[in-house]
Amino acid sequence: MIDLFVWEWEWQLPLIATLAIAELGFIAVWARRTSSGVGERRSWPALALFTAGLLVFALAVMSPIGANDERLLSSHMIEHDLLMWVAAPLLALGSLALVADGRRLPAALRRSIAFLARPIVAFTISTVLLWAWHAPPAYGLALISLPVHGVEHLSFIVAYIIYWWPLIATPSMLGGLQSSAGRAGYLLAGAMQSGLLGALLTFATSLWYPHYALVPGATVASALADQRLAGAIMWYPGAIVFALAAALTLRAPATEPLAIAG
Amino acid sequence: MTAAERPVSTALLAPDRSNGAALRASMAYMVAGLGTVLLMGLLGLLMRLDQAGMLVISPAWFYRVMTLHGSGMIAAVLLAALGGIAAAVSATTPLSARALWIALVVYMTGNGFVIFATLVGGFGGGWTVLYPLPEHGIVWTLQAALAIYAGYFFVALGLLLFCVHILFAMRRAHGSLAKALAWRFLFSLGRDKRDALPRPVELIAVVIAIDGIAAAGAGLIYLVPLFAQASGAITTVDALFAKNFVLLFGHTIANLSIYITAGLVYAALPAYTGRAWPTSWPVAAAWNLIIPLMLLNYSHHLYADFAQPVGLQLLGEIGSYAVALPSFIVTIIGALALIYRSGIRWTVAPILFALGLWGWVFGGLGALLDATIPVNQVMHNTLWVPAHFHTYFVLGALAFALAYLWSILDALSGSSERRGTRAAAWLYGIGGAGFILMFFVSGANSVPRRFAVHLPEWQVYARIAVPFVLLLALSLAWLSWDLSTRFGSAWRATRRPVVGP
Amino acid sequence: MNPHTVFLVLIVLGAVWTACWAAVLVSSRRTVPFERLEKSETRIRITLLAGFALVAIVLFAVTLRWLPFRESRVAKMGAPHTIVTVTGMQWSWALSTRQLPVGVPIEFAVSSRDVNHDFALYDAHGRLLAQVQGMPGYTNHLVYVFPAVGEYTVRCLEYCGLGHHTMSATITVTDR
Repeated sequence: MIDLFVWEWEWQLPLIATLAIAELGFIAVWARRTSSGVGERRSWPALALFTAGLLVFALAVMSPIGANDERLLSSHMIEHDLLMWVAAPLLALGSLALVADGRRLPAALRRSIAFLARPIVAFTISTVLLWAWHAPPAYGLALISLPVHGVEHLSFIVAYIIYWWPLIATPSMLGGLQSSAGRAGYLLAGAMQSGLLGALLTFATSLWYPHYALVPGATVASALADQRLAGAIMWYPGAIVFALAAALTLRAPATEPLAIAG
Repeated sequence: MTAAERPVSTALLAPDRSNGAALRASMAYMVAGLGTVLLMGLLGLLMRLDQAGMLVISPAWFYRVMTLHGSGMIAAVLLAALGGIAAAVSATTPLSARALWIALVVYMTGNGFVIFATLVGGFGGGWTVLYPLPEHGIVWTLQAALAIYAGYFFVALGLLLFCVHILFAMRRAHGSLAKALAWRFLFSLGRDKRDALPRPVELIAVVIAIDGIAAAGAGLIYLVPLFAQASGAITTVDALFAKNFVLLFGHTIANLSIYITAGLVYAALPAYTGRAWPTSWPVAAAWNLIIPLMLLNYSHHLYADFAQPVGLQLLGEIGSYAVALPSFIVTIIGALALIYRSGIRWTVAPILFALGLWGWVFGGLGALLDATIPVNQVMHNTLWVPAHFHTYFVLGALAFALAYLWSILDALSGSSERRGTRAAAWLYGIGGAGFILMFFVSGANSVPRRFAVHLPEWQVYARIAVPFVLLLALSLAWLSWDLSTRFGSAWRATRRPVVGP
Repeated sequence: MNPHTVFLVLIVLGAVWTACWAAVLVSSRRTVPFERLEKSETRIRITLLAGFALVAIVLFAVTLRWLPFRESRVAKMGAPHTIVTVTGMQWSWALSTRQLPVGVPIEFAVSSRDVNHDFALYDAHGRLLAQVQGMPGYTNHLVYVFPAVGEYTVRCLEYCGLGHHTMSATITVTDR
């Protein structure tokens, strides 16, 4: 299986362009929002976090991890894990500064964010998107069409920015979850749903995505082993990530924002 | 003031409600634990129905259900017990709600692994995951075994976090662990009272935290070579080593629940009887003794493994006999003395405490008999073994945990229980007693344990047990419903200042 | 050791305990100041502690005479007349012989080819007589004297997977 892995980078100009635009857009809004008003300082940590999130996004997709995602499901899974559990929280943390004072946002935007930040909504969106994209027809389409694949990655990022938001934001930042009980339940729900998907992949006895058996050099047996590994890659690291998130976000009192977001 | 008039609430919620957050976390532990118990109980009913020949499922499914039932129940009752003791100590020993919640998330993550390993992955290796069976599954894959190992790892880690936090909190609140264990008082035979004595439940919390860390440690020691062997780093693990450590881990965490919940009796029973149960010298002595004794008796599971050194076998027998003494002489007699001629009002919590006391001793008698090596020869791995531990759980730890949760509601919810619920509590006792008695009868008739298919002559015992299980289920359903109607107000009360003497 | 006898002991002791427990519960209808009970509580404690400790010590000493391990059995019953090699495997038993003589010590050398099993001897009435674990990498020796001629059933009493409940064999015991 490891012999199918090729050490190459896959430069994707549309992605680079998108990320550059996102970074510039962020800087523009960030500069305006954090420079007006007396006594407010520029939140450099926020900029660093957002930029780091974009970098992880870029690395996940364009490094050998992402470059091999059409050859190995396990490589693809590492790529997805990085998007959902590293890039998305970094981007979310960076964006907190933009929403620092929810009252100053346009009303429509404020209402939309508040709606999306509701725990049930956030959980549903992230869960539905995760499972929908892993359904064999959708997954297969992303494998053969680069634009669809791009939409898939973008939607993972957005879905998980939405998922992490209620845990890191506060009411003034349009956050949703303040009680420890709610946070613990929310985290466990997130861990269980992605864990279940990982478990189903780990224990499946047939190939979900036959594409991987058709890669030159692969066999059905090697593709199945690869699938089991991919399931484990979603399942086990996920548990660690959610446990770590619990350690970081289950704090008392739950009314203070995470200090690093400024 | 009579027992009925004496307020129950003074010990639970600190006057400045500073332990409100910790209380809420503890209540979450108890509800999560008890909710899981109900689900695992349904699996148990399924097992009895299968063995009765009334609802036959495939052996593969039976063993998966059996595995999930075993590990799920032990994890669930332990969780409820941990919640109870955290609640009980929180008023006088400040606990970090944050630490409690993090431990809970880690613990429940472990449960998730176990559920997926059995229900999705087909793992049916028994909750004891006795090496090398998990890797000789034939009907389940190595991935399923790895998943259950991971589940146990997270549960052990959650237990470890909880116990370590208890020790830190106790050390901070009392000055040192030696003071939290009342050592100066203990070793001076009760004469030196310079140190402020901990409440009994606080002393007990330190005892179970120490043994909990030991058990979790044994589990982690067990898992490391197993992971190494599964990954190919080593070729084989010694079967005797594996059995010793998995039982030191498993037996101890199962046993831990009854001791934790015994602490809850110390915490809650006094208020119902209107009598105090302070930290006397016998209490300090008995519970300090339990620290080493609880760890000694696991070896009674290895009497049939003749390869085990005879010294360890005999130590297991001595340890099993010895640990019964402090428990009976101090805790059980103490509880009975509190009840004797006390004028106690038999509401739900006292009923459940009383049932737990009965079951602890009855189950203990069965256990002591089986812990006697010659007897063990004809009872080991028959249904006698499930008989004794189901008694310890259903009519012991679970009864105590339910009673304690009830006492929390009595203290905080401001509403009283429904009239029919006392009958439900007694029915719990009847259902439980009939259920466990049939296990003992089965064991006496040499019916093996962990058999998916029972011979026709064995099925009759399970058939008699089924109505008792249904009675148990009905009473638990009623108790849960009553509980749920009062839970919300108790939860909210942890945020309000308490009004009391 | 007869399991029914053990059960009887449990019931008798259990009945005594239940009676005491019930008496305490019923007694609670009347009240007595707790201070008045303390002396008798202490006396009861010390008496029971001494009594139970004595019983435990005596019981422990007695059990030393009845240990099932090889050395103890050989010392009591004499050298084994026949040695039977038993190998447990998922999911059957391999025995070097299934015909054995009555009334003389038989030594079962039990091991396992794969996972832990438990070699358990049942008589024709379904009563468990003796057992020993079959562990991979070890050989455990059970010395046993068959009390009567007839058919005995071997069952596996250590959970070993899907076919655990099907693992059985028959031993025929005859006059020498």
